[in-house]
Amino acid sequence: MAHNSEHKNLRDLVLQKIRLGEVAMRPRWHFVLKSALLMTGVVLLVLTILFVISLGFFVLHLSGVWFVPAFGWGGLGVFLRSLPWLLIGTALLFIGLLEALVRRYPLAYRRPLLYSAISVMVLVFLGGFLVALTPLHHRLLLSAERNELPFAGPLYRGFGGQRFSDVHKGIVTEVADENFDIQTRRGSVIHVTVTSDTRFPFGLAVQPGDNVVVFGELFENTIQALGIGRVDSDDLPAMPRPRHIGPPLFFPGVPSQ
Amino acid sequence: MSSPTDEEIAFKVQQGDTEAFGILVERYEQKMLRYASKFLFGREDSEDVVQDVFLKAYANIQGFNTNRRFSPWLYRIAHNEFINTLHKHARLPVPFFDPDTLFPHPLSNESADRAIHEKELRAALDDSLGKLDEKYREPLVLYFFEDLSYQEIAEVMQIPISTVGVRISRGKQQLLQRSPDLQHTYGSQF
Repeated sequence: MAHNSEHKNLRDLVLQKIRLGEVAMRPRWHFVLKSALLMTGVVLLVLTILFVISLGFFVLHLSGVWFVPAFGWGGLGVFLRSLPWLLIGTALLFIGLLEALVRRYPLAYRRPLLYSAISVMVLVFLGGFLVALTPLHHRLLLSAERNELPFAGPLYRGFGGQRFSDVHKGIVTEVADENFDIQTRRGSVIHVTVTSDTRFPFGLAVQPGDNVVVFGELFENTIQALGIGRVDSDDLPAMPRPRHIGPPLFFPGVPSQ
Repeated sequence: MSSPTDEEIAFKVQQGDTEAFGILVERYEQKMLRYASKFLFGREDSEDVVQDVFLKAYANIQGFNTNRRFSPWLYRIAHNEFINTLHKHARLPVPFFDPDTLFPHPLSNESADRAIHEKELRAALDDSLGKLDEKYREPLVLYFFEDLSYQEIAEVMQIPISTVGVRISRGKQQLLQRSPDLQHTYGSQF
């Protein structure tokens, strides 16, 4: 009996509080909105991560760093040193947030963290790589260089204008026996010397108009090449010159001396 | 005529039948009090906490999907409420990362596990629950006292099903290690 009265008491206490309005039932839309917000958060995070990762792939390709591991261990070292660590750190931070959000879904929390984390990483890196293959960043970079991109402009000008001391990308303008000239997107002309130690992982023939990546340290506009690779064109025109600053840095079509 | 299921009653509550919620309180009161007594470990206010569990369940019942089972949903609310209570009183460290949830584990045979030594385990658990680590205590209580399946425990604790199996298995081993009498009676493992 004591058990029964205790039993009744809790039920009555709960119902009394409900009747007195001390606790109100949350409307269904509250839960729908909550789910929608969670889903929106997940979608926005995924889009942000795809943007950041694809931008990372894009700047690696643009600077030529993407190709340098083909030049051996030295190239691999330069590749690791030249990775866009700020973008990678930002992407990892957002991936952590995304993982925390998707763990709220049964599909994620029913499985070991390792599985869902690997799935998220594979999907966003694959997605980022695919986005990098689209002309999105290409167009945004051009808009940024024309000062037509108000918010992301500095980001693109910063990452798009990155230069590395060991990696140089440009178009071959002049070819001689053991040297050739390349013209970078910034307009500077670099004299490239080929030696017996120079590696050619992508083939030997270099002709004027080819897009090439040259691996080697730049010294007074000259590189003694450790590696040379012909790569596909970015189809990016030379960077626009600032109209008000000094004389132009190069004249298209004129080879370096 | 068979009595309505928990899910049918929950549907009635969602339609505005407040009194029907009283039936759910009656059905789960003892279970919740037992769960609270084992989770909160002798706290004097465990009845108040259980009352809060039911009030939270009522407040959030529109978020319950009546196509799913009511029991794990209610236990999930209770789990959160109990954890909040322990955090408030600084008796539980804030969990940051548990390596048990990171890697996949082979799943032990659930039904055989429950059948063998069930009575002995319940009695031993009742006596020695305080000797167990926090993370092993709850899955053991939900499995042996509340009769939830591995999958339901996984839903309640929002951890992988394989982790539930690992914690139950390790919890039993810990129980043996920390209770020499049990080891003497049942050998090296249950």
